[in-house]
Amino acid sequence: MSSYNNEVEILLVEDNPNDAELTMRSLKKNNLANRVVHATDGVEALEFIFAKGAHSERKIEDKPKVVILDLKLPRVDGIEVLQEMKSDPRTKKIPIVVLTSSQEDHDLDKCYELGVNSYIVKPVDFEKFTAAIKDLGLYWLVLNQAPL
Amino acid sequence: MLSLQESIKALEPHDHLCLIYESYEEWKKAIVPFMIAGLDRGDKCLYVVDSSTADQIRIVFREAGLDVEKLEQKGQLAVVHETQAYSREGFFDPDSMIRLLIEETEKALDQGYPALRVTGEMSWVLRGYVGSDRLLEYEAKLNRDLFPHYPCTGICQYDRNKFAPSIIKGVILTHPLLIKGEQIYKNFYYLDPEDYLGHEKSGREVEHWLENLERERCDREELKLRQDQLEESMGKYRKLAESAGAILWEYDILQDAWTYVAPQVKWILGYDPEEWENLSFWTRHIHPEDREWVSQYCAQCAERGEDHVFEYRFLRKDGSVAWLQDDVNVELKNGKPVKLRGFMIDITERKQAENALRNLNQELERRVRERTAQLEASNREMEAFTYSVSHDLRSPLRAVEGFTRILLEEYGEVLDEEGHRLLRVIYDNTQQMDQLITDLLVLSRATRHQIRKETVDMTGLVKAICSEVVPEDGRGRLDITVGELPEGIGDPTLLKQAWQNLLSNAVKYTEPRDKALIEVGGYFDNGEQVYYVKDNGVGFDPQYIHKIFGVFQRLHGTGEFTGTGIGLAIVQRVIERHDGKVWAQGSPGEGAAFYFSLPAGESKEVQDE
Repeated sequence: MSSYNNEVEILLVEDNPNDAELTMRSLKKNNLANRVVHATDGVEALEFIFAKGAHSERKIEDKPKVVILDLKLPRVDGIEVLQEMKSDPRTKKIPIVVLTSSQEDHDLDKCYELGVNSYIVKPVDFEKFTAAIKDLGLYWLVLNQAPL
Repeated sequence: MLSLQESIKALEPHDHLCLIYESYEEWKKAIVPFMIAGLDRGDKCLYVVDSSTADQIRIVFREAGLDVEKLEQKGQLAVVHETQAYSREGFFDPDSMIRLLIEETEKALDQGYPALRVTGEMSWVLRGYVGSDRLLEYEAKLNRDLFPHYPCTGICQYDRNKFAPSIIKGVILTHPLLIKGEQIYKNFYYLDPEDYLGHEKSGREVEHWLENLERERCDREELKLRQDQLEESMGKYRKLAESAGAILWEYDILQDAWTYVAPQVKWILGYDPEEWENLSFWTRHIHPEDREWVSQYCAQCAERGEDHVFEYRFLRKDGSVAWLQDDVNVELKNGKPVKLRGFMIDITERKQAENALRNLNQELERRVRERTAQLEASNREMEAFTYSVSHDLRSPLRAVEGFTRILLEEYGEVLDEEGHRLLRVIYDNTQQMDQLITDLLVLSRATRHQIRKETVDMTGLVKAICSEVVPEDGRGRLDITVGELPEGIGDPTLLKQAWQNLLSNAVKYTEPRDKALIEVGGYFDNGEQVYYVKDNGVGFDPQYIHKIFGVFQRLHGTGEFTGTGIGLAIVQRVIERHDGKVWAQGSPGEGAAFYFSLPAGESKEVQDE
């Protein structure tokens, strides 16, 4: 599911269709789902960000306002995506929120070391999950001043 | 046997000797050291010349290295002619002569000298000043009146060529010590002055000689006895040397020859002592790898005169290798090494044992490394597993929960009460499972986490947890008292986990009470710190106390209280890893108390994860 609007606001990188559905539902509930692009693994995510492959008709300068990134992804995992994005001057300013089941210390540490903007552990409780997505969405799309 | 010079040096005040000489050489060999020894001792020295002149004597002494002028000026040395001494008054009177010598001795003592040393050329006797009888009367009286009582040392010089045998005979009889031919002799024929001057001279003479004979024989017997004893003890030492487990040896450096190699060398190393001719025999049979450093080391130590001990390998006659410990003593002469002495001990067995031990240690260390690696690998597997658990188990759980919610939201109005209840059951179970996963992860971390030993402020820690663990709405009914807790030594993260579990339990199980009273305290007991959490909650049945700390063990049904039964297992795991103990008390309806102890240790940092 992807939409080619001029302005993409959220890139959701999530391989689990259930989690993806729950996330989209929350975003929708809060009117944030209009301009969401969903990538199902790291490769697709990077192709999107760097306007390559399936997304070569994009422009790199059309940056999303926030990337919601799961860590456990097939092919190329979340850490690598994070690394790629943060090491390229064209993309390193894009805010990235890691949304993951992993509470492991070393994942947390690694992400912050790579420059992640926020790290959220997916709550099992759906209400809490919804609230987290709502907060996340509102914060990064509405409250936060996006980088140029 | 002492040399003449050494014997003369050993002469003491009160010694009275005669020198019976036949040549100038003999005379010089006795008299010059005599005077020098006296001057060295600080004696006042008097030389009475007769056949020589004073100047001749002075030349002799100057040649011997004495500063004659200075000594005479100082007064320590005087060279006088016999006319000034013996025949001063024109004739010779033994008594006045003795008085003179006594006066001279006393004068010397007054002047600060310890003794008077006098020697005189007696040749003036021959000029007929005095009869031989008077001379010998004089000598005997010296023995009675002067020498025993005054610190005076004297040698009377008699040139045998000049004196008649009868006089010489008398001289012999009257001098306790006799110098002849480079030896000082205790005069066998010496007659006590009492006897000499007494009337029964001949009779006394015979008595004396017979006594001397016996003494001689006794002495000889005694000598033989001592010799036997010496041989016996030498024999003992030799036996000891030859039966010891060490090979005693002696090597003469200058001759390059082994002067002694103990017979043990035969059965310890297989060589006959006779085979050990020179040094190259030894170096040839040193193990080739040790040959160079051993030769160098020994040469250096010998050069420096240093005793040394060292270990090296040596080839036995049958070609096998022995480890030897060589203890060497270096004998120096004039600063140069002349002899080496020592003993070799066969330490082959000891060395083998050492090697075996070292190998064993290395083997053990290797195994420890292996096991550690295995353990580390196992730990890493565990970590990967728990990571998987936390991520992969939770995912579907989230889906179940989420979609149940969605179902409720979208189709809730279509469902009846039973439908809603069913959905609620599904929901509650997902919560239960989530909590279980969390607790399992905590337990696993408590087992794996590397303990860092720090001093922990328990009071502060507990107070901080209390504010976390007490629900907002419970503030009023919950009364938690935290006493002054002693500082504990342990891992802050793990201890926090333990406290959290204990406190949240206390809060949970006091829920039914109108007023929940929780008391946290601690005290010292026998070098350990003991902490406790007491509550007035529902308590537990003490007959199940052995189960209470078990994993998944619960003493209350899920309907009564939520929980996974892991909380206390976590506490126990944490405390056990600190080498402490946990225990509990309780009774149904009357609250519970949970205790744990921590040994007092030193805080030290263990390496981080």
